[in-house]
Amino acid sequence: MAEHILVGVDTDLLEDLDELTEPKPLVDRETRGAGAAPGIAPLPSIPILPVLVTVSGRYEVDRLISLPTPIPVPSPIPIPVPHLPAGSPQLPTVEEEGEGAAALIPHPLLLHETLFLDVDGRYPQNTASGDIQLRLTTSVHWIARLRRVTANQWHGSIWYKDGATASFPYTTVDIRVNNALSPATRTATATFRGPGVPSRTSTLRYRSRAFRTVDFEIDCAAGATPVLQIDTHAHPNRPPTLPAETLTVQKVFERAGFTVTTSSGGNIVPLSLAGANAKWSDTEMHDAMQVYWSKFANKAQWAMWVFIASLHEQGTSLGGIMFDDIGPNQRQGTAMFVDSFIKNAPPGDPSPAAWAARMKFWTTCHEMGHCFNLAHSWQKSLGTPWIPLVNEPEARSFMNYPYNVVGGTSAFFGDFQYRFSNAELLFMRHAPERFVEMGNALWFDHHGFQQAETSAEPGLALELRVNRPKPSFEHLEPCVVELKLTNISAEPKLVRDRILSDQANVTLIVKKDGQPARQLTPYASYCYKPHTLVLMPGESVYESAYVSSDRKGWLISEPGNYTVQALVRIAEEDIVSVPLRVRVEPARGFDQELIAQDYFSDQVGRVMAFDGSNVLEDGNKVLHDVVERLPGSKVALHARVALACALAGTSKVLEVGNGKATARASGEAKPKIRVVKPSPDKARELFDAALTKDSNVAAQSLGHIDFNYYLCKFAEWLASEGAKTEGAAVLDKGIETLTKRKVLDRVVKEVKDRRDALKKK
Amino acid sequence: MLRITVVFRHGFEDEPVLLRIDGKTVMDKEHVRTRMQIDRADAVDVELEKPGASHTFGVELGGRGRTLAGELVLPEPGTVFIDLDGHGAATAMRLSYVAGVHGDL
Repeated sequence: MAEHILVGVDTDLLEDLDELTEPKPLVDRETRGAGAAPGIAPLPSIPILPVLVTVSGRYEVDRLISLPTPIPVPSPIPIPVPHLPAGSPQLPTVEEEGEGAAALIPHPLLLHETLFLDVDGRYPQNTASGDIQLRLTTSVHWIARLRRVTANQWHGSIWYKDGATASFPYTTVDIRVNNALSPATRTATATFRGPGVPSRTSTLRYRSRAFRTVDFEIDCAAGATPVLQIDTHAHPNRPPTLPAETLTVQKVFERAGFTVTTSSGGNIVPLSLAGANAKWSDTEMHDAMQVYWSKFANKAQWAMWVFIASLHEQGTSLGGIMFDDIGPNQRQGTAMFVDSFIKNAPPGDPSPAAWAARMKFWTTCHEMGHCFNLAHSWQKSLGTPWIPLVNEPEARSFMNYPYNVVGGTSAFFGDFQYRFSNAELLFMRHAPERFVEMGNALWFDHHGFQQAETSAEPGLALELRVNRPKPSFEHLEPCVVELKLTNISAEPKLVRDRILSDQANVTLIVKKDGQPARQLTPYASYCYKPHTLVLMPGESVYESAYVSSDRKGWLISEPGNYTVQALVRIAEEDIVSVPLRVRVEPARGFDQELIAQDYFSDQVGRVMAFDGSNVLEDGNKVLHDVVERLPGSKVALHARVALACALAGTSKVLEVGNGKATARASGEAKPKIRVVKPSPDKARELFDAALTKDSNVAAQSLGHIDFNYYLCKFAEWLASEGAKTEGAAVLDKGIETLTKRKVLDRVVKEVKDRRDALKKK
Repeated sequence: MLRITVVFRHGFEDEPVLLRIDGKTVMDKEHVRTRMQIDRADAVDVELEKPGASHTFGVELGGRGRTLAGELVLPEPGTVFIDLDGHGAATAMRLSYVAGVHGDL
């Protein structure tokens, strides 16, 4: 029978039908309410019309793998191999290059894989995302924007990855839904493809219309009455197309993509906990949460406590607050105040009771939205969104203030459909779990990201990498990454030359684990005359980027794990790189720790970024200390290059007020240009030690692009100093190193041409 | 009497804040910090005499060693917003007023 998926039907009817036909899980992994128990056979499928079928939701598979070495098993332990009821469809599978046959594995473990398909039903985002557990301790999260290919088939480019991205080199995904008419037997086959790697195919079983399950517990302070459902037509100011219904808070979040459970709740919290003034402080509410919330725990969980009270201690001007923003497990508790300003309808309102009820209902959903890490609509670009966000000041969303939009509250509710915006839904449904889950990422850290303007069929791919086996850096070692933009289409592409050097087009984000992400704001902007470059299919352009520090301070300093991600904007399209995970090793010894106290300064950052300085004396002094006290370190290599560059040639310094005052403070002082003479012997010694003593280490630490640049600069300088033979020898060393490191033939040839030209000079 | 709400809005960095209106202390709190989820740091309801008169607002920021002052004419009940720009000794204060009820969520 042909399967048809049509839109435009009453999706609430779909929700009801889907609930009736939703399959029982093979291995129950979550609480699914009273009456659900592992091993219960699926309910008989109820025949439904094809036009009512939606396929969006959560799909899962458990993959069997072997352990590298047998595990001693002291006593018989049930191996969690799913039991298939008679007549069940074939077990979902994963086919991956290099994977062994699961049935032959003596000690299998289950690795979990999830697909979130979002192409129909309520507010479809035409997006798929997923979590794939790659090994016991590593997993990857991916997101793709989809376009429909056939009735049950979609294709899209993967525009976001998080986690063990190096083990997941895929750039596109094709998804086919099988047995779409029957949720009990429905599966989705996802085929991932990437340049130069074998494809990976997973078949996953449909588990739920919802993407995730969340639990709400709602308690009230004595005397406070919540509004947890409303008649959507109770107030006459509403969109003409708004369906008449009794809408519950639970339904709002179900439509956002969740299965909502409610735990106990209904507790009455005594006013005595609010102190003598009977108004609630954040501390008092946090204390009440610990006592009255049945699920309270200092851990991340898909659960929140909603507290309904009379007033906050700030008074009537505070309608609600997500009060839980201190400590390691935030966003678990939120509150709404029924006697605040939200109870007062504007004078002359035709239905003040309905107005107040709607406002209280709206506020409850708004405060709960903060627990999902959603920011206000006009604050999307603030804080630390992972991908640059655009504010939505006119959004008809639960996360906007109704009275802030043009036309005020009546304009807002006249066009409000009781929903979250698409960007918010994308975040709630598809962001990595830790960004959204209550108690996980800190409030306002990673809050809602917006889908970059990526194409479903991108013609270009951006890669961030480091030229070393592992992305691990010594303590103090400057972090230089390489950007690679490749034409992955079958057609030539026109791009601007220096496209990767132009900060107007390139955005670099650096984030230390557990801390906010920061956008790199380089010390200087360069203005180039643009030229167009033809990038043939398979061709790439490259650029290096120093990301350790910028004009706002140091982005990479302390030991730990960091994530670096790049975005380049080309012709109204965003090309987003896969995040690069970088590790900074701990300090080795007393000297490193001691120098670190002076090293992470603005001057050192500038000297490193600008390849030396004849002005920033404090920075130079620190780098001389580095060379002297940490001679074998990678940071000393970078320090030598910076110092050598400044010493190699004659340079000019603008001096104001005898060099003792800044231009601004000097007032009438007449500026002059001082010529700084070179120190060729010292420069040569430093260059030699940095670039040729151990050229392999230099190429690794500086990166191939910068190593090549400095080497050529050194050689040309030697030639200019009359040491042509020595200059050619430096380039010979570079050719040997770059060849050994398998750098592109084109690059090696360019160095050879330089060497030959140098010899002829 | 004139009832107003003073809302400490942007720029507060978990610091002690003392507010005087016409020389009288109306709020003295530690740990006042701007919180994005309510788009404010704190608020206090105040009743003033003389509607339509000019009132002096003095804000003492102990952690910054700064005392800032400004004047507003308040014709009717409403909300006074106090915003801070800059840090340390370079801190500046902005005072603004809207008539009627203002709330945050």
